[in-house]
Amino acid sequence: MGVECLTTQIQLREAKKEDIPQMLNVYKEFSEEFVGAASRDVNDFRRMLRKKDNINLVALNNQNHIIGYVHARLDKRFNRGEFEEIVVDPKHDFEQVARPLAEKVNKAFVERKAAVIVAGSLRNPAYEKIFPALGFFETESRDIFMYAILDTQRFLNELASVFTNQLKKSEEWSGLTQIECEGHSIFLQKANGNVEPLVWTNQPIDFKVILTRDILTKLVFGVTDSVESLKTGQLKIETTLTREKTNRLLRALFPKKQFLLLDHW
Amino acid sequence: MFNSTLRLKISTRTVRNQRLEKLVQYVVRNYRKGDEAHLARLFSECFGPTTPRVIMQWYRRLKVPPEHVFIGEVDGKPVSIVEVVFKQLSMGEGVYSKTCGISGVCTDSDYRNKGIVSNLMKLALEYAKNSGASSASLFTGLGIPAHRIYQRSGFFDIMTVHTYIKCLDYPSIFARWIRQLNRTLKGSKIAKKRLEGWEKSVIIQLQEVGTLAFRFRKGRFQRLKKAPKKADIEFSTDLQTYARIMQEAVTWEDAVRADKLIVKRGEAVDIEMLKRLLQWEWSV
Repeated sequence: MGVECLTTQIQLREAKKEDIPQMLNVYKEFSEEFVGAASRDVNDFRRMLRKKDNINLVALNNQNHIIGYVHARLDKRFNRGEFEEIVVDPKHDFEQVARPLAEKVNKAFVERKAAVIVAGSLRNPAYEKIFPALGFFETESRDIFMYAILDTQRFLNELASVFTNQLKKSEEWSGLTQIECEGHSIFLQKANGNVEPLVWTNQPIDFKVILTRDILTKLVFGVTDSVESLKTGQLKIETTLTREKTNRLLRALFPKKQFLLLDHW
Repeated sequence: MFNSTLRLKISTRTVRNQRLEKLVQYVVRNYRKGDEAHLARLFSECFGPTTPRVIMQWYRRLKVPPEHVFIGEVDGKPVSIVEVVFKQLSMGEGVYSKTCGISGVCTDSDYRNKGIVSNLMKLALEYAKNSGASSASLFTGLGIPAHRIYQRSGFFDIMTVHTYIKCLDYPSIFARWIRQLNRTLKGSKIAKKRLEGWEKSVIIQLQEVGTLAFRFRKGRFQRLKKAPKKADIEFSTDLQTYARIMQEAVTWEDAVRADKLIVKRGEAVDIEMLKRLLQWEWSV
């Protein structure tokens, strides 16, 4: 099945204070597609629109609804234009919304005589295709994002609802799952299509995943593949399931999600 | 925000300062009003020029209360700092987890390798854990001493930052870089020490831009509008490779091996110093 490319008639204009609720909605829809994106509120957007040196544009569809926006700023100290974020409602992906937004900001930076334009991201797919076409060259800097699990049990408990949803989607499997990370565990029981997290059980486990904090972090952020980790021995499975079914269930538990961070601190 | 009651967490540690051959006693406490000038000096040394006002604005913007800033103090002077910022991070399926962002980690160059910042990190992460954060995250540079400290503190590498760059007016960027070097040098004790007596001139031939030149003389960097006939270091490259070297995306040696950079003149020691200048890396 191919991807259908649609082109919606879009209009671009400067973002106004009244647009904040719609911009926030677009951000929420967009960030749901990713892991790692931080939650935001209206104050974050107010701050974004307050500064005069910022370039904030919104893209509107035929019904005058905001379907995407771009936030950029001109750093006068270095005379540097910076693309902070391009956010498009996933419902309007493949409709050429991000490109006109980026082109218009690029033009605005050239008009304002920026000496350099920079777009930085941690794997934002919107950036990856647009910027090389606009004459940017890509460089992978040695700045690195690091992550640590402070409280393994609490972290696993927080992830329980994520795993519950993933297991619900896996129609072909039911039984008792245990995910164990360095002596801490969560138990998920799937029966009749319902998934219940259990505090503790002495029932025989049908599918047990044993992993380290390192691999758990990388799987949650989608930067490593669960089946590959199993092959290399970084992740261990105790089950009676066949290899094929094990791989399918692992992929269901740890789907490859796109990792994205827009908010640096 | 800054009038809130300070929850002082004071502990005293003693470590041997090997270079000075005497014991260094430091106190760990939280941020308090009046620290801004010291912190500005510290941040200027580690991250480039800043002012107390900028620090105040930064704390206000990120809503950082005093108890989220951990300071290591020697003789009443802050010498090390670690900040904690709480965020809600998406874990997928609409689930958000409270995470603690670690930022502003730095130590005065005279007090490094004493374990002060490692201890501050430990306290900050303990505080974050007790405040309900199950995880912590941060940004740093690969291969720098701080990276090893974070790895020892339980942090794992997730991914590097991708940057897209378009240069419109490179001579102007170069002029600003020279100005920035001077401003940064002002607060950097290590750089000053290392550059002492290094009075050299550099000619850079960039394929898409032309010839750019600068020299370091009397403790200052000077942009040379007209390139001298002969300089201590001369090299030619393309803009993309030059930008990649400055971003540490490619090493100088790899660029030379790939014939992307040609060194026409320069002693090995001087080139080492130039590499430090390009990446502003002094502590390794």
